[in-house]
Amino acid sequence: MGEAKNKTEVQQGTLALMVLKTLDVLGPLHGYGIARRIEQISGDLLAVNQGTLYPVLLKLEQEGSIASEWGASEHNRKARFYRLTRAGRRQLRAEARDWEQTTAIIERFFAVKAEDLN
Amino acid sequence: MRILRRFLKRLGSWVTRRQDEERLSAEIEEHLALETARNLLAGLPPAEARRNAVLKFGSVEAIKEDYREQRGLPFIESLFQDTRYAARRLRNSPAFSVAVLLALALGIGATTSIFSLVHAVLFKSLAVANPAELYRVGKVARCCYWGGYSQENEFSIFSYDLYKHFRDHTPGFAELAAFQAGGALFGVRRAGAAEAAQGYPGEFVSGNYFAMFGVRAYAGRLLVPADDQPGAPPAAVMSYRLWQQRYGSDPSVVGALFNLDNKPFTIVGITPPGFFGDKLRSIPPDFFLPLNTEPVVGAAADPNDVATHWLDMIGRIRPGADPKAIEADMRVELKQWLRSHWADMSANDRANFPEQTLFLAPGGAGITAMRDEYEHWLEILMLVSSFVLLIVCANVANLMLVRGMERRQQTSLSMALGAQAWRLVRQALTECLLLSIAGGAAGLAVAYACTRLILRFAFPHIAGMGAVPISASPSMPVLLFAFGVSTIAGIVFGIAPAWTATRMDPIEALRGASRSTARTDSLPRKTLVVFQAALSRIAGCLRPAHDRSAQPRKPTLRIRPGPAHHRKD
Repeated sequence: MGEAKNKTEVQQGTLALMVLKTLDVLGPLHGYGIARRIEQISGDLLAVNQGTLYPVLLKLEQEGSIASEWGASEHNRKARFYRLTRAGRRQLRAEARDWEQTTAIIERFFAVKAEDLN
Repeated sequence: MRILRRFLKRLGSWVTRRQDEERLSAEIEEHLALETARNLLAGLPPAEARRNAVLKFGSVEAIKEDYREQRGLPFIESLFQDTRYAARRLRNSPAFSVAVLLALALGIGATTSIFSLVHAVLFKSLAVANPAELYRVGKVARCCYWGGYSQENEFSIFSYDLYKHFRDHTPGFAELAAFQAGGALFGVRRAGAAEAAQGYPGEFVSGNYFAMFGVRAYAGRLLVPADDQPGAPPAAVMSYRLWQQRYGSDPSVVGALFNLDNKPFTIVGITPPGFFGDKLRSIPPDFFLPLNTEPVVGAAADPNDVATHWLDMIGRIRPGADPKAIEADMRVELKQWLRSHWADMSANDRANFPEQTLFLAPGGAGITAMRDEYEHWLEILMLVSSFVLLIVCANVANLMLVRGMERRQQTSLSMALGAQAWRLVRQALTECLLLSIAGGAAGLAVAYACTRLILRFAFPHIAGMGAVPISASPSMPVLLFAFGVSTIAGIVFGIAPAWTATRMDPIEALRGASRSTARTDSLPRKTLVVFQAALSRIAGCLRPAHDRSAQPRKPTLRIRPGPAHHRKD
């Protein structure tokens, strides 16, 4: 159970970052739009469970990174639109930097071969 | 910061949960509609398009569950649920609930009241300033007169002459006060009043008595050394209790003339409310008179007689002074004093001269006559009541264990239906805590009633007199301890069965439970029963032992009415 939970936590973290980036690039968007976008780019991460996006959206909103309001979708239906707040933009920058640092370090580790250390 | 913000949001949305639920449903509906539309565009038949959209979205209920967990304060919500559920379950089995509550109330109540009394009698300091600085000269309480120039084991009761000798020659004490070891009963009448004289207990004290204790007058002033001079106008201090209860806090009492045993005394002031003198006694003194007025009131023995010892001494040492050094000094002073009276000493006194010594003992609790008298008795009582608490714990544990066993089947069923193990354990825990809290509250009431009852029996109240200065309110640390112990016992034995039940394979458990005959007596249960029986036995054994030991020491705490002189018992 612990392991599974861990995995979803990591996933939620990356998902949150993707949501922030999507909103940063595309501007205000409703849930479905965000899901589609992430699906297009990430492939299978959301292919099975598009619904998992909504708890993440809620959490981000509670943290103040995004804000939401009702609006009309392209089919003229009532839809909830999410947009990035200033705090969200800050968070995105910080997390993107962290992420880049982490990947860079991990990359360097993977690049190292046994003979390089001699 | 973000966490706080999130918590506040959650708190907010916990209140508006219905609205949020609707919002999520609307969002999901919109999402599915959009996905369905896309599938239709891709050429799927309508039914299939919708089905694919739903599949892709994932389990709506699981998402909603997840969403709810993010949204409100699930911990608090489920706490409320658990509490409601536990209360319902307890209502459904009144016999069990009442049994546990009674056991807890009695156990916690009895233990707390006994320990509160023990605390008050054995450990409590006097209601004075900085009791840690006080030292008593002498260890045992000798009441009330002693003649001659030698005392067995130690000098612990002193004549007025010897007191003055110590007071004037011991610089280690900032103040050294003396006061009557026994008590006196005065016939009291306000001068000019038509009422008959009434008997009230009083005490002769040295002029620096109140200064030594560091207490301040509630009204007027307290005695000062100038009052304690031969020929000084007779002055007395009245207790706050008498002033309030008998004279309705009448301000004109201060400065008024009162006849004590038909001798006029001016009441110069009132003691502070908490002050009950230098020792814990069943009837605290209502009047404090200077030592030098003793001959005025007219006692049988001459208080100024060099070899009549009738005073206790307590002193406040100078800050930083070493009591051991003072003790050594005083031993020398004692020998000097005895030597100066060599001519008056009997042959016996002279033979005992080399052994004469004295000790300094912590005096923050005053003269501990009551402690000395009851110590043994209270210790046994304490032991018995701790066993009572243990028995109660075992009883509660047993009841909880049985209940947990009975519940096993239901627990297994819940597990089989997919309940989370920790949630089931938490339910059991909530139930235990609910019982414990109710039991603790009942215990508090019992403790209060019980202490009052014991006080009433041990120190029968005499109309018009002051009551023993022991508060009936339970001591908080003791109450918390008793409450804690019984709660822990309840929790451990309440949770244990639930926990073991959750560890079992539900299928196996259900099969076993439906036709359970054997294995209901588990090892912990058997152990508990044996333990409980053993405890009851020990407690039973202790009781006669305490009766036996208490018999010959039956305390005499009566005031003998009669002509008002010193008690000579």
